[in-house]
Amino acid sequence: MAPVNLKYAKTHEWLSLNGDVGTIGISDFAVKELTDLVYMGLPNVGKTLNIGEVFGEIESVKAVSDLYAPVSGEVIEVNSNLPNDLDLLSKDAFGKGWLIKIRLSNPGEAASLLDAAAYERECAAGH
Amino acid sequence: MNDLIHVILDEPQSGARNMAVDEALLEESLRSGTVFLRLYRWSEPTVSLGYFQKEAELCRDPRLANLPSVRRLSGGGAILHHHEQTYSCSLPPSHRLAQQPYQLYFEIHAIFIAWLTECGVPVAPRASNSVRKQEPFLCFQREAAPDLVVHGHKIMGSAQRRRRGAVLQHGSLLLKSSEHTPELLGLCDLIPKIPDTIVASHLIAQRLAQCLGSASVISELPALVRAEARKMAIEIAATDNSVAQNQKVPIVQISTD
Repeated sequence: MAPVNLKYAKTHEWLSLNGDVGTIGISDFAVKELTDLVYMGLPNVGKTLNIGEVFGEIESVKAVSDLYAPVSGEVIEVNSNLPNDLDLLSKDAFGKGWLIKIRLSNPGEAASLLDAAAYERECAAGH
Repeated sequence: MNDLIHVILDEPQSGARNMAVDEALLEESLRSGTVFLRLYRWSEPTVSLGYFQKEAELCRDPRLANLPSVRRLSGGGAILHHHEQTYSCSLPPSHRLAQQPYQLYFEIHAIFIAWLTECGVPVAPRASNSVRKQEPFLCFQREAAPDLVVHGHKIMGSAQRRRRGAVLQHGSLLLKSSEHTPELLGLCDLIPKIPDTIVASHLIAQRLAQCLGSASVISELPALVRAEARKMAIEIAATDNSVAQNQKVPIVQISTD
């Protein structure tokens, strides 16, 4: 179940908003689809991201997939535990498996993201 | 548009050029919705590293450290492209197999199984995954369910890049062992009398194209893709050169101590 307090991109990233700071991760659904995760690359603190821009990559079963910024902003924190412990992501994608925190440069962009119900419909449709 | 497969039978190229063309085809699939299938070789023995592999690992193997190298967009282990046949396919997000990318490994490999079986090769899929904590550096020493195996030796593996719903999959069929990695046996080492047609890329391409769509056409690289690949190849080659400067030289010093 996708938590109702989060917003979602069709590309399976989630966003949790606290003022102008957003925490970004990827959904439990995406983690299960990817299956065995082996590597992850995340951006450095200070990097500026535009909405839709690639901010990282993740490898599973010899497939590398891009991760996309659901909103624009500057990276202010990276989950430094993750690249070495991808179990955090597999076991707690919506909690300890968060990826990055960013200071939003255009908070209005969050309104274009999906709510939990709409995101679940996307997943059910196989998107 | 998804039903017509554009088949490109490419000339042997450098590592940078080969990887640049594959990436440019992926981008073109995303842009235009076209499905591409490409068969190609490498103009010189070249090591391709999986996307997340470290150059330092390459430098630890003195047999490979001073060969040309290039980073793939896809994951998995390093491949020495010497006596082998490489394929790639680029699928737009609307293609049925782009929506089931793990299945794509099996459907493409099933075509190779049918083809090799007809040629008298006792080939089978490995069928089970074995992810070890410390994976071997070389792809052909790793074990994944879609791998093709002959007499217990891996002779084919594939890997993917997924981008905005589109999928690039490329893979390598090991034909013969290389003097740089003699422990890895290819088809010709494992099967004494192998027909020459086994390496006829146009015949393999025909079969693969049938798996991906209902019709195919032999194509040149689209002009836009060629131009984009040329730019990308220059960038990739520049990166590889800086790797060579930073990583390979110390290895030479170590080996002469």
